[in-house]
Amino acid sequence: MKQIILITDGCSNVGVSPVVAAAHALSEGITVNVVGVVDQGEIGLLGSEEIREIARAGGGLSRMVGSANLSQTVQMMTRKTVSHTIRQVVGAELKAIMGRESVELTDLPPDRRAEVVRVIDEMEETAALEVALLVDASASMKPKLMAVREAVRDLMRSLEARSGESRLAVLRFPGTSGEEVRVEQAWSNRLAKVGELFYNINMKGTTPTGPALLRAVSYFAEGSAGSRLHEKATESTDAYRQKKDGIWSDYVV
Amino acid sequence: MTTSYRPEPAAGTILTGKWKGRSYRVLGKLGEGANGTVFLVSCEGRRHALKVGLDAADVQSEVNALTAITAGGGPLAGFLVDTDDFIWKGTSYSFYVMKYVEGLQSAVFLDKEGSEWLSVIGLKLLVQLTHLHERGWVFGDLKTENVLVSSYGEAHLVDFGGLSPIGRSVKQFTEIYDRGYWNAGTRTADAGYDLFAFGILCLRLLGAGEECFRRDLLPQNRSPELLLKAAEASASCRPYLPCLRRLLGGGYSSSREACEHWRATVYSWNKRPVRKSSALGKGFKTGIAVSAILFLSVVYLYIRDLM
Repeated sequence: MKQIILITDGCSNVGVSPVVAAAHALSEGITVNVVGVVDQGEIGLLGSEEIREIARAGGGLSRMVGSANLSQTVQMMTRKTVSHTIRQVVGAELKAIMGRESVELTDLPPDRRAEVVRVIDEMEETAALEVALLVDASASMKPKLMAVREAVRDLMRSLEARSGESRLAVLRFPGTSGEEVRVEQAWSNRLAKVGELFYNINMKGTTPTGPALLRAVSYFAEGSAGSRLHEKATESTDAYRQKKDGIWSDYVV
Repeated sequence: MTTSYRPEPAAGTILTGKWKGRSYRVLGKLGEGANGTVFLVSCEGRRHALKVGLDAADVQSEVNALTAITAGGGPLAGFLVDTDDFIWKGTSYSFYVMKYVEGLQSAVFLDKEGSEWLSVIGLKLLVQLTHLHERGWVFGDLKTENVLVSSYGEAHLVDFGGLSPIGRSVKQFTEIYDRGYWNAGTRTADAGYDLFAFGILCLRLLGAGEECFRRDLLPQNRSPELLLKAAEASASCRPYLPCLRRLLGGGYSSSREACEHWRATVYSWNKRPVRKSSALGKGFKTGIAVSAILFLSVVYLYIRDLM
């Protein structure tokens, strides 16, 4: 399972549209979640609309939160996206087994349902998971970066507790000298020095959200955790695209 | 989400399970959480609590856990009464029915009855946690709101959404009770996870360390040492300090050990009174001591029975 969590506080202003980039991500089997960090309500209509659209195109969730709730939100999104992905896979299986167009869990008698949910729980806990945090580090984000650092630390704690292999990478945009993205923390299942994340913020930097998303997508390929995982993710997005009108597909909120 | 619409059956509504056909009359709403609503219902003259979930898989996951912890007797035997779906405005909603616990939230109970009741409530909670842990589960989301207390310090755990098998990740937790949040350990389910949260619960119930629980506390300052300092500075915590040190410092190898230590600490108050200054006469003091000994022996016998 692969996820990008984009943390931003405003509109993109250079390069490819982030909505298009998010659609690319989804087609590669990567879900894109977006958190808009708003402390004084400065995000504006345009920004909040873009945030919703990116998440919709990326098959994920979007939320607007104050920096005090950032950790909790990031953690909740990761967990929900994992459940959603697993439930889609299981839902597709169920449809195949039962030979029906649409199967709700409540169509199953209680004892069979208990068994199915046991399998779902097991998969949610043990399936391999990769999360890339993509952090907007433009000037306006500066006062929020401490909260972002804490969210990174907190997410890592939750990932470490999972039984399945879990890896986290942290990317920020824009980079330091003209580059669109800078890798702050390479793929890792353990976090070394959170305090050192996000130094040298480029004060006159642009906000290349779209290009950064595309770069994050290719970063997954570079640090891929093995082909079996990739197959699984592809399978689940196929299920997503083919059976959009079926079980659990109205996920984007 | 598929069933994000929250069903709100009014008092008097009859909810009928579609698989087993049992009917429940709604008497009122007991509470509402992130993943469901709990109603007070009656069925064949008996009152129960009925939890309707927003997501069938979440409900079933909770039911699976409850089935596992209530199997084969123990303090929670008979807690899970029924599980089924009802149809509300054309949509199926999963629900389960559990024992209705009448009582006050622990913080309210202690406010009303006095903090000395923590000695009894704490012991009863530790007994229940021991039971869960010895069956391979942790409670997960232990907090003052999830402990109801009825007459004479009868403590009940409610909201089992955080139940997690030992060795797995903790399913649901609340930040300020979370061992990970305090940089005091992992979020992997083990007895120590619940015991840490129990330590925080004690601080909350004793009104200690308010300044530690503010949202603006810097993340790097969160530590079990900070919590212990707050406990040491609080007069109401003093009698419990030996326990709090080990609860928050991960100093127990099992909840049974924590339970024994709690008991030993509470009983030791007899020998070394916590508050010495008193203007009362000697005869009166002796009387109090005698009745305290009698009371504690009764508690002891009762708890021994429970274990």
